[in-house]
Amino acid sequence: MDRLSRNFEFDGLVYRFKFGVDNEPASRACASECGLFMPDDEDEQIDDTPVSCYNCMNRRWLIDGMECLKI
Amino acid sequence: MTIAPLKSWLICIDDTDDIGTKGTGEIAEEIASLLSEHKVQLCWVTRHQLFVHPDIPYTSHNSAMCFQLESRSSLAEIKQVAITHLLEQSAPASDPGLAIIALDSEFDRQALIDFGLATKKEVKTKEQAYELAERLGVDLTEHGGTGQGVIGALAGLGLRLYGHDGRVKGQINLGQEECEEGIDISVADLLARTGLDMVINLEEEALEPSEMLHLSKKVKAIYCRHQFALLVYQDEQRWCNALKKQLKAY
Repeated sequence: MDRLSRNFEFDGLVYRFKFGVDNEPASRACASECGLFMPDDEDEQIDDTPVSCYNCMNRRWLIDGMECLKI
Repeated sequence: MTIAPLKSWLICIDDTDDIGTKGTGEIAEEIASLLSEHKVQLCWVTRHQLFVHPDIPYTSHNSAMCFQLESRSSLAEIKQVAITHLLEQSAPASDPGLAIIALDSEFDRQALIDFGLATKKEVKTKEQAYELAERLGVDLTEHGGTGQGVIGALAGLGLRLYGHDGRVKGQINLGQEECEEGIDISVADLLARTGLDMVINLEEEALEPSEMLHLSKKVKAIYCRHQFALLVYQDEQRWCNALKKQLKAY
């Protein structure tokens, strides 16, 4: 969880992904070291590399970012 | 015996799932299949992205699923099938909404489109959704929880009518997924084998039937210019199926 937390920061409301919504390499790197990654429905995936936080069932999109529901 | 006339319907559902449960798209596809009178009928489901905002209780992505149906069944019959399936398949913690409209009826299409477009960028209320549905003759109903899904269900109808929004649920596989290096196919062959209407580039210009395409991995279609289309981009002087990042805009 510590390694996962490094990629997210608490903004007062949610744990927000530090690298925004367009950084696939960071999203893949983060998911690859996360034991809680679960693929969302294929229709909801937005990264061509399957193991990526952007494709995870436990991510939640925000107006200008993404949060992790497992932290 | 009089045979009922064939009518066109748009049907949309929203807010039926929860983390780890069957997706709204799959439930929509199942309803479309249950309602299809001819098994060969193509009932493509389109996914429409709605606004994500702290005031909206979406699960993780806030999208509605819509499909068009050609049927001789009455509204009551269609609704009964859809509701029965929604009640069976929706997640216990979900807030399902169902919207149905007869496409050949007279209604203010622009008002419905405007509502759909607005719901992509601002928070709407159930009251606003019900008020508009009543004014336009949309059959709008809620089926559990807070019933908040009526907003997305109504918006999904509007976005499908708009004609320039949404990705098609599921994937197209012409053998490229089993082939490491992908496959080459002409636009004409692809259209014939998939039933899609056109192939367009990132500028939304249609490709000629004789153009060659290279398909690899997951291939998805979009809804654009009121047609089902394959989106492609140019890579090393060949047309390739769009990346998920490019599909995201739809």
